[in-house]
Amino acid sequence: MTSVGGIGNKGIARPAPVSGRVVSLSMGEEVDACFSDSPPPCRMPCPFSLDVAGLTERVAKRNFAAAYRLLREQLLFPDIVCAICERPCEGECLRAGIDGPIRIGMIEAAAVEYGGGEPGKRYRVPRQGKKVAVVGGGLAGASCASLLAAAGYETTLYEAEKQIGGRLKDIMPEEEYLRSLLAGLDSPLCEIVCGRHVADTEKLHCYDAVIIADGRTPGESPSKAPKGVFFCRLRDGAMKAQPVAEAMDTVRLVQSWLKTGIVRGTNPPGANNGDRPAYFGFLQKLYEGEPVAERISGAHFAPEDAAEEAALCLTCRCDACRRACDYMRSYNMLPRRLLDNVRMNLNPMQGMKAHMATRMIFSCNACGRCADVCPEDIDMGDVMLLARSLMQREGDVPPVFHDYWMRDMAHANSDACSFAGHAPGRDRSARAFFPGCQLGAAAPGLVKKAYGRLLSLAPDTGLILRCCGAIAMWAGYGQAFKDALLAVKQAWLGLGRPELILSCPTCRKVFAKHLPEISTVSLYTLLAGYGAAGKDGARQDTAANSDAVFAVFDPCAAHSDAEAKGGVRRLLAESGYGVREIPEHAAGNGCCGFGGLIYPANPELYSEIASRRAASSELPMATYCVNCRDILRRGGKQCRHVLELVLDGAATDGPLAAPSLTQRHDSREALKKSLSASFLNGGTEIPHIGEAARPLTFAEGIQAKMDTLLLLEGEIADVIESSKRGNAVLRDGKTGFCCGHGIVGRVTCWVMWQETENGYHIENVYSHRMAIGGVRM
Amino acid sequence: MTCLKCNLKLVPRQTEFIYLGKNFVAEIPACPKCGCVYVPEDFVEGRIKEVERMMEDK
Ligand code: SF4
Ligand code: SF4
Ligand code: SF4
Repeated sequence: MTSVGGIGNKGIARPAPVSGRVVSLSMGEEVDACFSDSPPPCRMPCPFSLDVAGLTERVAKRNFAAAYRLLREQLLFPDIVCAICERPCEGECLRAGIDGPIRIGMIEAAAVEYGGGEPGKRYRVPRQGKKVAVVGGGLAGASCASLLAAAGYETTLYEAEKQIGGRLKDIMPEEEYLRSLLAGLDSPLCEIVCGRHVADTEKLHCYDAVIIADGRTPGESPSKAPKGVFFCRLRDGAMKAQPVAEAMDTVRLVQSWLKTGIVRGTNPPGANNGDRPAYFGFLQKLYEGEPVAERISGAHFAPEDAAEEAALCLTCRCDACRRACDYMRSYNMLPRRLLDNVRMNLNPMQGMKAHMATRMIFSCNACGRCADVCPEDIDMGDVMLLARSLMQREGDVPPVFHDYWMRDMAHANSDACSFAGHAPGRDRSARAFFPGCQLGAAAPGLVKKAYGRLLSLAPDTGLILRCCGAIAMWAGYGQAFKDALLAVKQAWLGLGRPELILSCPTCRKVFAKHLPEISTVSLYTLLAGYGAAGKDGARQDTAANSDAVFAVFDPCAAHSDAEAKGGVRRLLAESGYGVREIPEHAAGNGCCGFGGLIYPANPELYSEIASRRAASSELPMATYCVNCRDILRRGGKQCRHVLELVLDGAATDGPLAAPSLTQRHDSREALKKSLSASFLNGGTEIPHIGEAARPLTFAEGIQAKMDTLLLLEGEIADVIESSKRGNAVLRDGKTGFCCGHGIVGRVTCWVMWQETENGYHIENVYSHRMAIGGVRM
Repeated sequence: MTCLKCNLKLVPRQTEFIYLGKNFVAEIPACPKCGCVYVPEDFVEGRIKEVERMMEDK
């Protein structure tokens, strides 16, 4: 029925965001302190700072050839180094504390044994047109000559003895090291001159540079060291393989001198025996819980043994934040890479996709768990929020991402729902209850009861109903966020600067950071302090539920809010409930999925997070963010708001369903109506909250579907009415259903219905983000 | 599907969709007289969603 045409570009492509370019320059600082790229401990004492984790990764995959290539690149003569090295790396291995160090030396030996053999590829390097003499054919000199020839310098290696190798003959079989050295020196650019002692470097004036590698130091040099003469020498106590590492450094110096005439740096830097960096200790702690493995004994590894041993390497790269974050895990990135992607998105280069990281930037829950677990306090949530606000400022975000929630926030702050006033019959407020925009929508009865309770405890308690602005903050709408904060501040000033009683952890976080002048207290801490739960029948059925046990699900915004966390636990305990912790939760993973409003940008990740959280405890859960409650409920979890437990008791028969978006919308208006009615009457009674009546009935599952599409019943009714008014109704011949469509916010919404006696029966609803343009007739 | 206003059966018509400043053309049923269109749900769930995602990531 439908065929598909091509995708065109209408108008100009969106230009790169200009302000993003400027601000994102300094964004790198956010992750400067991250040590995920810092070398693992085993590299520290290694003269070569060998990439051990790269080696073990290859061997674990049984890719011995690749492992050998890595060794040849980094050790030059892997066969020799491997045979003589004292293996100081193993002494630093963090696995030691678990079940013994990784036997790095034996893994290297396995790479040499099973991956070596074939000669390395020879690339034709351009000749440099310069000549270098190397004096001394020991391990250091041979290494220098091999490297120089490979880099395109005509090299002559002078050795006083009959054969090269120097002191190697004391420590390993001659034929073995000779095979390796001669293979490494096998180049048309390299000449070996044995049996010739070069006492005076003056004689070598025809060379562009001279390296003295026969143990002499500058002081013993026959002539003062002229320009172009370098000494490759060892420090006292150097390790046996050190000469190769020193040779690498010396050749680097020589090369830079030959190219630029400047000597950069000094030699020998030697092994990096500096202080043990602090992050080693952090990594050690991070790996404390690693399971103990059964280790292979023996002094030689068969290929499978080597692979098994290599697979136990922890690679010792900090990933504490990723362990605690579903988002980072789903993108399989650590902060540095995340930030690279953010910056690329903000500064697209010519021909690059400008928006490939947009979805990624809008998939972070902005929960701050990463900062809680990071020893450097790096908060990727802040980085993503900054990126979002830059992108929104440029109009560079699909507006549909946050359209529903921005309209929802506007609704909460509209005259129909917002409110600020002193307690009925009072003209001052010592404190004021601020339940936020969500509790009153999802559980208006709890707002009423909690407020009633607060009034009975302290009659001078005012009330403010509105949104703190978190919605706009998450979406990156900077101005709307500022406006929301300002409105809160005005309401607070209007009530005479009362202390605000907050029930929503996200409000607490927003207030602490963005409205520090307002002092706040957690509702739960306050109620616990009053011992409120036990008094005057707060829980009438304490006895009936005295054995009810709940796992406390801390909303992400509360993770570093010790006051609220403690208050909730005290309050539950005082009310007679058993309280349990969720281990996975305590260890990190925190957000229910709602945070950061990731749903429209990444519904898959949202659902994955939500169901993982719902499965994180067998016990019924208690939480103190109503969004967490409802998301956990939708995931099939028996979950209660702490206020339900404390004010209603656990035995409430009510179904544990989450209210629909329409119910939330209606309740919010009804709450304001009922509260203000009672305020205006000067009474303390809070009347019943009614439900709005609409002439709609629904086929099964349609209301739930509308929630996933973020559509309200009133909006569906509007689509039907406007289709009828515009004479744009279709009829399905098979089912007889009417069909019409209309714009709701930023989406096009399709409705199938049947007329009923007093309204419509909705058979189906769906929507798309693309707008319908013209039809070619 | 029939257009109630014109009482005509819908026929396939090239129709333009617009999203994020880019356009996309597809053949979908429309009334031959008044041009009133119908975008079936399976087309929305399939191709439309796919193209939307592509345009958002582009
Ligand atoms: S576990 Fe691996 S990366 Fe970590 S110190 Fe040991 S060998 Fe090195
Ligand atoms: S926790 Fe994450 S951000 Fe912090 S140092 Fe480790 S990898 Fe870097
Ligand atoms: S703020 Fe939360 S979701 Fe975002 S990166 Fe940090 S832990 Fe992950």
